[in-house]
Amino acid sequence: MALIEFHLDSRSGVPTYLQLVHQVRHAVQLGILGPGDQLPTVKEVVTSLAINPNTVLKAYGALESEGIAEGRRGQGTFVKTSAPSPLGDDVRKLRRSLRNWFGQARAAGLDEQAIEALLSEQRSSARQVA
Amino acid sequence: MSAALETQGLGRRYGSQAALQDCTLEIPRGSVTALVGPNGAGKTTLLRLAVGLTRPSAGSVRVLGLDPQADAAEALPRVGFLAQEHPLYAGFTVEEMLRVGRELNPGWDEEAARVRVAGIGLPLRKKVRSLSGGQRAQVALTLALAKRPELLLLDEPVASLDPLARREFMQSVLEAVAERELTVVLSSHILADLERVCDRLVILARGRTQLVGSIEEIVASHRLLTGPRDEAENVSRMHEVVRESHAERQTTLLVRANGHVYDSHWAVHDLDLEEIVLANLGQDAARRREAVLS
Amino acid sequence: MTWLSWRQQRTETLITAGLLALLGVAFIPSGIHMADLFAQQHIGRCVNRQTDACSFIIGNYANSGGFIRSLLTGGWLNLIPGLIGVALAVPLLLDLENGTVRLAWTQSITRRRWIATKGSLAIGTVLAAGAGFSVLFTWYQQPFDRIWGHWDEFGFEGIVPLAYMLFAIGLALGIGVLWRRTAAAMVVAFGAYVAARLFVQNWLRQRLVTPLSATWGPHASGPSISHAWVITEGPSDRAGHLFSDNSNVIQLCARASGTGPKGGRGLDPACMARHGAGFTHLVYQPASRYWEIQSLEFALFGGIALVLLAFATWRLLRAD
Repeated sequence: MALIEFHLDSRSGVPTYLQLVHQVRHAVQLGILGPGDQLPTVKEVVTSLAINPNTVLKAYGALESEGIAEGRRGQGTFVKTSAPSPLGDDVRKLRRSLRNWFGQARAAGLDEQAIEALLSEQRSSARQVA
Repeated sequence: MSAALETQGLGRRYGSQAALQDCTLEIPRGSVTALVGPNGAGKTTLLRLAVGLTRPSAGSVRVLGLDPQADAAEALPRVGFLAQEHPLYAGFTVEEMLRVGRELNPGWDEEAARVRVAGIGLPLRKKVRSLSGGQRAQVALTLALAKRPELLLLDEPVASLDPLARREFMQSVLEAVAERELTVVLSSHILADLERVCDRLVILARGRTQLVGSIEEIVASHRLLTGPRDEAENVSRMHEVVRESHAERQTTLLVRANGHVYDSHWAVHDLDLEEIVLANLGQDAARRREAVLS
Repeated sequence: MTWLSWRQQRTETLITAGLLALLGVAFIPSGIHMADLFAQQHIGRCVNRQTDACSFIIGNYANSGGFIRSLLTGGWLNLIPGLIGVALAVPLLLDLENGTVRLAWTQSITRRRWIATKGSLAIGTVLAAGAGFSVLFTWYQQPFDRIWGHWDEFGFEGIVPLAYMLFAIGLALGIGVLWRRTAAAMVVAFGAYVAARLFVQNWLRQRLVTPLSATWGPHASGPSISHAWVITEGPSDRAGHLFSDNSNVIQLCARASGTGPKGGRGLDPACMARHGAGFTHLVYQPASRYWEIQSLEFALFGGIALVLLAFATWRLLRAD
């Protein structure tokens, strides 16, 4: 039986593979998964979610390049680290500045919708076109 | 290694009607490709040409590097095909259908077939005509998969199925893809769930290819721009406009972006695959209307 | 592939076997009975003898055949080869109509092999049925054939039944691959079979080989027509022109009652001779030509069947 189970939010706008990456990271941070624990096999994920196997491979590939997991030939993909990701420091800084920004936005009188609009506008235009 | 499916100027006429024309595409191995388009777009024709049920009127088609008709003896064992109506022999039992697969395919994996059938809960002694639509689809899929093909062609496989049967069917297909390097091409006129299941897309309309590429690229390259009406020209000069609509002061453009879109006057939004496909199909419809009117 | 072909034509094979079994059940006991009777009543001694006593004995014997024999002489059983041939085309035609050929043609065997296996099995079954049919009736007819020759139930004996069955399945397949509606194709094919059989039986068969003819006078006797097929025989003039029943001479010379020494119409021979009509003209096929005509009719139906089957094969190979 797999150690964790993935779920998908098809309305979130976040690419499928990223959702899987986030859920693995989250599980590692919470301590649900530790070093040596096996991630669900590609087949298990495909069976439970009915998604393209390549998407799972892409997610696991991303986790590997972040150093969170490693693939072992013929065996599967395993968690490599229990520590927060190497980007932990940057993430902490970004989290702090975001908290400040939200405080400023609310102080300026923006409501939830205005904040949401501002966020999606900047997110899209910041993204590189292939 | 040759592509899973490759066509060069492929065309098929029935009398004076061209069901497919000028189709040039390449589908790499290991991908799950969606073939989308309205009814009559040529999806079934393309799949039938690929499996050798029909011969081309023009151009060529190759599957796994082979000619599906001339090299049928070599190609057929490696290509699985599931026709739209899920053809099965109505008076046969499920067990007899498996025997059909065993008798007609030297590469048949009887154990895998039995495991599959048991896993879905299909009673072996039941006659095909008394199975539900979803069960029939699964039997037909077993016949296509148990011969261990390298390429699987599915013609509107889930069109007639209820949502649960649909999910179960796609689960089976994707499991097979996960187990071994199986290339899948499936045609559909239902757009939901495509992004989840497929990594490549071919859009067909009126027998011609409109768009071919990886879904990731397609989603990344299409953008919805809203901005001042009088600046519409600037944008359309730089990017290919797929769909446009104008209000009095504002213009909305759906573009296939040629590079980075950066202009402070324009708001840029992402699009989901369904919208992009519809816009491309709509573009074709609009052009057709213009051609008729002019 | 062989198993699949058998399984797909299972129903039709059973129907065919059932039909033949039914015929066997009807005709075998009767045939044994008639053969026994033939021996017991020494019918053999009366063959080719024109005495009144023999005519009586033979007539009696023929009537002993009863209902079963009348089934055969009635002619309706001629439809059976048509039914069997058309029935055995049904599995293939249904495959086409339902689109299940698309299943068979996308497995691992080539279309050519599918056609060859399925076709040979259907045709093999048809030929076996034809052989069974012929053997049964040729055997049954033996005592009657010894008396009258093989011509009466021509279509039930020898090699022609096989050709008829092949012809029927050829028609059904040839029509069915063009017109993808099984029930309609079956009806049309059967209709064409009946029409062709009637045409050949009533008109063409006697012309396959030019028949022999003879004319002879009142004091001579004609050629031996033992076991021959008499096509026409009747009073004629010296040149051999036959007189029809409503010609002046016949009207004039018809006797009020009974049959004359030459049998038949009761015509006064003296009267006929006075009017130059004292001759007899005969058109016939001698017994020696039986196998020649069997072979020609076999070649006719069989040849057309082969053309139809070749056409059906060609269309199937090109179908899309």
